[in-house]
Amino acid sequence: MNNPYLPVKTEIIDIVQETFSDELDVKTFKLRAADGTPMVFLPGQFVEFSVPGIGECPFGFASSPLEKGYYEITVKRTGKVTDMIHSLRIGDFVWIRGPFGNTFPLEGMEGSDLFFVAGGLGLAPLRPFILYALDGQNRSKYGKINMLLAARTSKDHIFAYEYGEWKATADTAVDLTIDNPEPGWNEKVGFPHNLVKEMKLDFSNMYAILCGPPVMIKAVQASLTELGLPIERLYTTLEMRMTCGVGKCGKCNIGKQYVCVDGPVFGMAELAKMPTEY
Amino acid sequence: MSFDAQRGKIKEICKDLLEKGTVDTVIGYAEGGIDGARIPCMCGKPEEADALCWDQRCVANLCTYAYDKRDKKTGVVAKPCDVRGIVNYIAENQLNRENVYIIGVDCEGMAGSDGEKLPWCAECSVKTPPVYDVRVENPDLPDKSSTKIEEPGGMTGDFGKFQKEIGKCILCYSCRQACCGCYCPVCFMDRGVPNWQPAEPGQSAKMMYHLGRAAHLAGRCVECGACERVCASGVDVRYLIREATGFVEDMYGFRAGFDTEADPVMASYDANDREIGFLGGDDHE
Amino acid sequence: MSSSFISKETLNKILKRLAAAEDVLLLAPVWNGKVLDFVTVTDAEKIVISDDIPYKSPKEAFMPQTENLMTFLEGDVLESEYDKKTVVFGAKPCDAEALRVLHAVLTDGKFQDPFFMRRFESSVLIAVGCANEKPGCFCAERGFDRTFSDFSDIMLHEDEGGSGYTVTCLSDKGRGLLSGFDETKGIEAAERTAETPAAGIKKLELDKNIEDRELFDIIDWEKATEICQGCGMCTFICPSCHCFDFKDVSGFNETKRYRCWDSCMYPQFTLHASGHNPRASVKERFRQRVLHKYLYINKIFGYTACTGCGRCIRSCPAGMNIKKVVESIMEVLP
Repeated sequence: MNNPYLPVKTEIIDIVQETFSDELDVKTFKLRAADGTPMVFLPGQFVEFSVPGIGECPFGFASSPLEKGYYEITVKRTGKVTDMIHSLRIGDFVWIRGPFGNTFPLEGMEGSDLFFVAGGLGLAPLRPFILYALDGQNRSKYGKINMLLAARTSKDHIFAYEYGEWKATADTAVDLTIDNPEPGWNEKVGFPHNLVKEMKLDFSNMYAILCGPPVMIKAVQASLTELGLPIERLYTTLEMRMTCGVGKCGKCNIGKQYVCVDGPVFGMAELAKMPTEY
Repeated sequence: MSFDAQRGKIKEICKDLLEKGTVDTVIGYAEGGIDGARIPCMCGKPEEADALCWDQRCVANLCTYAYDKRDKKTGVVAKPCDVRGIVNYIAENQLNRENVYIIGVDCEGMAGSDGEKLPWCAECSVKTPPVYDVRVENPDLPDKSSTKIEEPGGMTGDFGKFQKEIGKCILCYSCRQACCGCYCPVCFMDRGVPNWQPAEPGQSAKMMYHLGRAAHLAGRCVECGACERVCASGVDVRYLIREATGFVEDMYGFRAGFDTEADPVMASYDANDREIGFLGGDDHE
Repeated sequence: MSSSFISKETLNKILKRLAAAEDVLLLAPVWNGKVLDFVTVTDAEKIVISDDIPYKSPKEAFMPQTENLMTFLEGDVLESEYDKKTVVFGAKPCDAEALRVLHAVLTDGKFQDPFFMRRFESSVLIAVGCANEKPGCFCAERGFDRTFSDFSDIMLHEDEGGSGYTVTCLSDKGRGLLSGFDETKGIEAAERTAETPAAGIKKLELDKNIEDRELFDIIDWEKATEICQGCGMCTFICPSCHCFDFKDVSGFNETKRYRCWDSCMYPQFTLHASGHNPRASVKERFRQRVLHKYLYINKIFGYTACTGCGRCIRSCPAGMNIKKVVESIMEVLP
């Protein structure tokens, strides 16, 4: 019988320090199974990442699903397990099981414009979708792609080294914003829920995908609804404690849903019907 | 007989307190438990006080609820052990004296569903409330009040008995939740950093928990028996704590829950304190 | 006497043999000090057959409080081995019904739990029907027959004369166990099915069509949970509660990963690393416990995860009563 709890030995093949400050210390880990088996996953899905003796934590995929040679996860240092993960080095082995969870409705969104709104680390789980949509063979399936990427300060944007390439893709706009003005910052300043109102976007055939702190998601959702985007066209991804990843341990249960199986991607229309215990 | 007389008085007092607005809530006992046990009941309106009971099945210690409601003015129908718990909260700066109205009730001891007096009640020597705002007397009470433990009844050195007792424990922590001395916002057992709990709930985790809790309750236990009463697994939880309580009384002549002004004994230092413990004292026993 | 009869003497002989067998773990109710426990038995004389319900449930046999799942050793991971056969004797029909729920939750759907499966497949559940209800029991209100459950492997029902039991076999595992003993080889198990509880008893359940959120303020949950101390004992002794956590224990050169019971009543259960807690107070946690059992699991798996054993009611230190809470919800539902 296939044992969903048994992890696979995996090598860290690269580490990128995304941001570094007291409040926000983020690293991206590039991983590959020790036996070379490729990880086949879809945007929105996640893995359970173990360091034996320390524990196991769920992390969303942060790399392109089209990339077969490796996959990436992005980790913010916050607690016991993430402290340990941050101390790992290239060549170290960790234990991974997955992929788990559902995915963004990639096909359902074809033919529409996409609007990604990410706050801080919230960009990580959206990146697989962004990279998937921007890829040459998929770009024509979607309309205009807009991104509004928010961070607290100019030093806190993750994957900043890629933005140039994203902007260079046809019919794609990337807007950056920070909370407060800083000398030398030429991009936007302010919170996403205010900025979306000034961006003069065409909401007639658009899907918006939001990820970030709960307050940001709520505020942006309210603004987009006000601007006329139907709730059925809003998607987000939830964060919960997920121990087992397979809908058994009960931790991520919200109403009749288990976030690890029925999520973590949820349509806002569906979320509006669910208890607000997230 | 005396329970009946006291019951009327308790209802009257509680009604009056709520009518006059002296307190926002009165915590007492009401019917509704299994096998005739009374359950905690919170009354916010004078007419709700009619539901209050008082008999030999009012087994729970209510002072933890007074602690939960510490931001409001609360009246508590308090047996002497409940009063001692409240006094301990006040002495440890967890509860404002002004926020709690103590309806101290003389108590001859509570009984189990079989009518037998509960073991901790049978051993109890404090039959009248040491502190109160109003006292509900029981004239028939045999006057046995003293502040000295009559039988410490410890199990010093019997590691086998200790192992056997905690072997029954399922680490559900209900003794901690029911204890008026256990009010830490996050218990040492629940802390991730540092992590005191051995990962799997085996014998070592149980040992860590029970010894840790006993140590934390040294000089703070009010001997209400709640820990043992609530234990579904039937662990003799009290005996460990009793050991610590007896030790503190021997060493420092202190017993918790009698004086709201007393400095908590384990939290205060006196140069004349006797030296003993793991450094190797010679004057204990 | 019918051939589906087993005398008390014969039963005792079989139990003795099972208790002595080295490759079989026998779990049964035994007095442990003041409480009736459900433990591994080596002395069959101590087994208690009565209507008293052990404070612990037999779920321990299928999902122990602590179970080693795997070991990380020298750069490899090894799944733990399990080769024991278990006989659970003296479970109640309500316990067997609860096992049905555990089985559904852990094996239905996209993923199966192999650690539960291997224990389930190698165990035989012998349930004994109850003659009378105990205080706190409400299996009838939950729609179950206190004398019978077809999710047991073997069902015993005390004969009216009191000299033995009528045997019903409900699975190949059960038939296999009986045919293994000389004394019971010829036994012809009786045909039985569960009886529906008497008319007039209103079934305690919640309609699956109710929206989850509708029940969030339908009763005053604050008031309903004001005496709850939030200890979580109810979840540990419940036969159908199954939430768990993984824990790692490192030794000198190996790390063992364990599965341990966890409880929705603990604040740490849902606590995020960021410090945010989706269910921060006892009110929310108790509501989750009630609704997970009565509504969510029913919606997903088609069973209510409460079989009316009454353990949580009898053992609750504060006097919380899940039956009264569900009744109060049913009263206000249209």
